[in-house]
Order: sequence, then structure tokens, then C-alpha cells
Amino acid sequence: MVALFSVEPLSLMAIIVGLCTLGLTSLRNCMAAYGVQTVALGLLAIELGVQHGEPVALWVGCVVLLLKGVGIPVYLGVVARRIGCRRDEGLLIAPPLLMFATLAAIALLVLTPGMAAVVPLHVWPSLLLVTIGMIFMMTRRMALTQIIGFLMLENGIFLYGISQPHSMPFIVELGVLVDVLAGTMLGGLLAFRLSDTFDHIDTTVLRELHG
Amino acid sequence: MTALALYLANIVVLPLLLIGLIRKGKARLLNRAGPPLFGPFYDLWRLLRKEEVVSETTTLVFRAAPLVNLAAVLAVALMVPWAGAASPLRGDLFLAIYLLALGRFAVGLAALDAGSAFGGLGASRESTVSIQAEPAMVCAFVALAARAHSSSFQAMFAASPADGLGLVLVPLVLVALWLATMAELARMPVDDPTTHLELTMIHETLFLENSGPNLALTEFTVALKSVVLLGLCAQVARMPWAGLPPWTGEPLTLALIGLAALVVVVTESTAVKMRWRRLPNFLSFALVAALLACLLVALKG
Repeated sequence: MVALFSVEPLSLMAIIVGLCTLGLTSLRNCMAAYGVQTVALGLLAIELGVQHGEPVALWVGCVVLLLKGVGIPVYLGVVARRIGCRRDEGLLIAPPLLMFATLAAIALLVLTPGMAAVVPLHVWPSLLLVTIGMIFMMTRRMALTQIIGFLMLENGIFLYGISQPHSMPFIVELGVLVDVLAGTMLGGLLAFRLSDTFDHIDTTVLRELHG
Repeated sequence: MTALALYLANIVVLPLLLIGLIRKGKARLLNRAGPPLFGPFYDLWRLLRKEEVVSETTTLVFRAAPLVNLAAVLAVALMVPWAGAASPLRGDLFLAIYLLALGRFAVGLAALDAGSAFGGLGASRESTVSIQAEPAMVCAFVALAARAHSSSFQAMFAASPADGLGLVLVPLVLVALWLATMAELARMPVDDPTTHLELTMIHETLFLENSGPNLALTEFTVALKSVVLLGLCAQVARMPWAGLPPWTGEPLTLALIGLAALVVVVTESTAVKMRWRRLPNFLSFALVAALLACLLVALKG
């Protein structure tokens, strides 16, 4: 059994927001939830930087908070509004049911007796966040929500990076951040192209023949 | 003795005052004068003196249901320390939940008893909403009970959240309780309490057949249930400040109930009623928050 409660409240909040995002169907709300999650992780990085006296973590936290936490939701919101896509009903099972299933899976994972020995305590939040991001990416049909799922997965990796005892070098963190930003912009552009060509961004019907 | 008198005064005065406050607040938010603050008291007095019109197809169930509902909710109000002061009777979580369910069951039966299809529609809708809202409420309280190692409400609210768990637990339980309360009391965005269109009613369909004294009892019971559930939410919100002296319990609870009423007023004036099919999406967040709270308490040990 894992004593998750002793983990930082901010990373717990990021996991809880991620779990609740699984149940959201409105695109605007998904982006807002992703923004809240990233702001929480940025604040966590700043707090860790202040606690351990590492200015690197502080700067990384600020940059993440502004660019990823505020910039990306705004950008994706503009893209979504131009495309006119509002709701994402999800694939196979309804979002609330998916939320329950993920909660059950997480509970099973965390309450299994041998787990505390296999996975160290500081890895658990990032592991759960990566899992939630992957599940979100896999079970959505619109291209934009799949991008948000990928971004949540990257949030999990970022959390792993800052929760290590020895933090990652500044250049690596910045490199990953630039990659993520570039990837998101390309994803937004691709969503535009999809919408131009097919008049929708529903990935499940992309194989239909037209005309 | 004075504590008991104060408690009974709470039960008699606060529910109708809360309803009057909510109605007045909604009107003021729309820049209208609104009904008088003690309007519900006058309404009750008027209804008690009115003649009752009862459908011919009804039986004893229709006559007895408002009494059963009132008795159940009154028992819960006397058992649960919702007002910040100690309750006269000793309360248990499961007894309270079952009593509330008994009241709801009786009212549903009475709606079916009137023999119209509309009553059946209302009973079915109310049951559907309760199926989703009640587990959330139960699980939220079970999280607190598991933490306090007791199912008594007094022990639950007295457990001090000094450790880090309380910081995350109280907001989760509060979110679960608030959403479940909004569903139970048929407030926006689950249901519009002021609607005149029968097709959009969920909770009021159950009371549409009542008139006169039956309606007076029913309205008072709804008001009492509102104030008890909001009082419980206030108690949970008060938990981080458990270190304050006991005499601050009641004023703080009343202030928090007033704040909750303000939130209800603003929500009812700005939000729209959700589509019926989107209701499970909305209420699932309550159950997830409650289950998360239970999981966190289970992890703590």
C-alpha cells in the first residue's frame, strides 16, 4: 500500500484534475483543466526551487506556468473556436464511466500490497499522471482532445523530472519544453488542415471516402 | 434546557427563513423588490387554513406520505449536529441516510398513488437523480467516518484535520457533498425549483397533487431538508477550524449557511438547467470526488 497522502498536495491536485478531465466532454473545459493542472505543476516546481534553493527549478516553473499553463490553452482555444468543434463524446465508453474505471484501476494499483517496494514513493504521482494522460489520449475521437491527452502525458513526464532527488539540467528541461510547444503548434496546424479537408476533426471517420 | 430550546427554535425558524432568504436574494439580484423575507411563514399559515382537494384514486399512502417524510427529516434534524451545536439525540450516519431515503421513498409512493402518468414520471425522475446523488453523499460521509473511526456525526466533525490529509480531504468531501446536495434539493443546474412547465420538473412533480395542509407539511419538510443538508456542508467546511471554542460553532455555521444560500442564489440566477441526459455526466463528478476521498483515507491507514 502506498502512502500517497504524504506526497505534495500540488501533485495530488494535478492527478485529481487529470482524473476529472477524463469525465469532461466540452473541449473548452478540457483545455481549462489542462491549464489548471499545468499551473499546479509550475507552482510545484517553483515551491521545490524555493525549498531546495535551486534557481533553475524556479525559472523552469515560471516558464512552464506561463507558456504551457496559460499559452497553450489559449492557443488551442483559438484553434477550437476557429474550427467550431465544441464537444468530444469519447470513444467506446462514456466519459463518466471511463472516469470511474480509471479511478478503480488507480485504486487497485495503489492498494496492491507489494507495490510500495516496486515503485518508489516520489515516482507515483508522475506514473499516475502519465497513465491518465495516455488513457485520455486513447479514448477521445477529436484531434484536439488527443493533443490535450498528449500534453497531459508530457505533464506527467515533467512531474517525474522535478520530483527526482537530483533535478534534471536546465538545458534538458528547456529542450523538452520547446519540443512540446513546437509539437502543440504543429498539432494545432494539423487540426486546421484536417478541418479544411474533411470539415470535421473526428478521427474515427477519417477513413470515409468523399465524393 | 436552553440549548434544547435554541435547537428547537433553529428547527422551526431557520428552514423557512432560508427559503425566504433565497427567494429574496434571487429577486434582488434581478433588481426586483421580491417577496417579503418572512413570506414562507405566511404561506404556511395560509396553506394550513385552506381546504384540501384530494384525488379519488388515492389511498392511505397519499395521506400518510407527507407525515412520514416530515417525521423522517425531523428525526434526522434532531440527530445530526447540523446547526453547529450538539444535537439532542445521538446520531449515526447510516441511520440518517436511511431515514432520508425512507422519506424520499414515501414521497415517491405518494406521487404514484395519485394515479396519473405524471406522478409516475416524477417518481421515476426523482429516483434516477437520487440513485446518482445518494452514493456520493454516503461515500463522502464514509470517508470522514473512516477517518474518525466512528459513524457518529459528532465524532466525524470533531476529528481534527491537522495533518496534511485534511488539506486535500476537506475540499474533496465538500465538492462531493455540495453537488449531491444540489441534486437532492432539486436546485440548479439539476432542476429549476421555479419552473411552471411540468415536463421540466423533477422534484415538484411529486408535490403537485398536494394541497392545503398536505402541501404545508411538504413545503416545510423540503425547507427543513435544505437547511439540514446545507448545515452539514457548513460543518464539513468548518472542520479546518476545529480548534475554535465551542460557542463559535453556531454563529459560524449560520454564517456558512448564509454563504451557501448566496451561492445558491447566484447559481440559480445565472446557470441554466442541464439537459436530462447530461445529468449523469454532472453527478458522476460528485461520486468520483467522494470515492477519491475514501481512497485517500484508505491510503492513510
